[in-house]
Amino acid sequence: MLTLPLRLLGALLLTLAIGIPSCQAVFPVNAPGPAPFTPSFLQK
Amino acid sequence: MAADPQTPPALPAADEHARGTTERWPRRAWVTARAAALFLLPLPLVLALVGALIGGDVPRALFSAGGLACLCGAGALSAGALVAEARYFSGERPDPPAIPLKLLSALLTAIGIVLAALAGGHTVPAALVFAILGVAGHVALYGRDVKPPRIAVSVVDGIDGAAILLQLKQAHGRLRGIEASARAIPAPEFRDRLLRITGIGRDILGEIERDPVQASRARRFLNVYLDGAERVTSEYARTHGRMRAQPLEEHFRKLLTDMEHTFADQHRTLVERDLMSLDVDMEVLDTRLTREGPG
Repeated sequence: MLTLPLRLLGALLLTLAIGIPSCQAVFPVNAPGPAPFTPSFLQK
Repeated sequence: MAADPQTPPALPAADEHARGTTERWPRRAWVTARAAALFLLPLPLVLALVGALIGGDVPRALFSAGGLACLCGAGALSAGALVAEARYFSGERPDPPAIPLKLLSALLTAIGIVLAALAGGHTVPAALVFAILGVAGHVALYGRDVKPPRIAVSVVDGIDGAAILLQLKQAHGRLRGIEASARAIPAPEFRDRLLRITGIGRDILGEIERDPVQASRARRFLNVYLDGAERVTSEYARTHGRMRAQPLEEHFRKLLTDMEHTFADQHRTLVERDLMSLDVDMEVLDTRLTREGPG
């Protein structure tokens, strides 16, 4: 009876646990981000 | 003629076909998705690996490659376990895999997730949290490894225990095959009756396990009836979704009724012989006690 909800929960957990680190490996969390955009006329 | 209350209302052939198709496809798709999940989810690691190689980031490239390899290996193990499990439950193989494939797959998944998280710039504790979540998800999605039922044949002089054990394993496999086919039959009446029949079959096998001498008395049950029942049930389950033939259903219903009675008779015979044998043993002991007295 509980099999399907349990399997769905498992699928969700596995997706999060593998998907998040895998996607973050493409764009690492501690990598320096792009410099904030400042229009040239405001730059000193 | 009055309709049997247990008989489900007859559906037109097209509806029956549609029902069979709609019930089978999601199940197949679900099994395929489960087998493919561990191959598809880590695919972004390929991009991470390429990006790290282009950027000359060696540690990230190694973590990404390691994570990818571990997760794909875990996927291969899980797919193997699911296939072996399906073959075991359909009676095609006598035993489940001896190696705990799902456990190994869960371990590889944990290692792969840790490596992927490290490639993503997470700290070790954060990577471990992801790994715990992943293992919990793995266990919930794939379940645990199937353990074989414990069949312990009693030792009796003059009886080949190994041969009896093999016969019992084959018989259990046939009962699993009947159950797998029964689950594919949409009519609850047939499904319930088949599950009752396999229940009686297991009782008979339990009797043989307790007293292997009974195997020779149940020879026809082990070698002929079970094999025939498995074959007919699987063929009926295979053809039932494609066409509906009223005479065939009636014939199958009658066959199942006869089968249930025959199996029940077989079980009763074995139990009665057991009781008779116990009665004789008691009588012999009583006679000796009366004749020989205290000594």
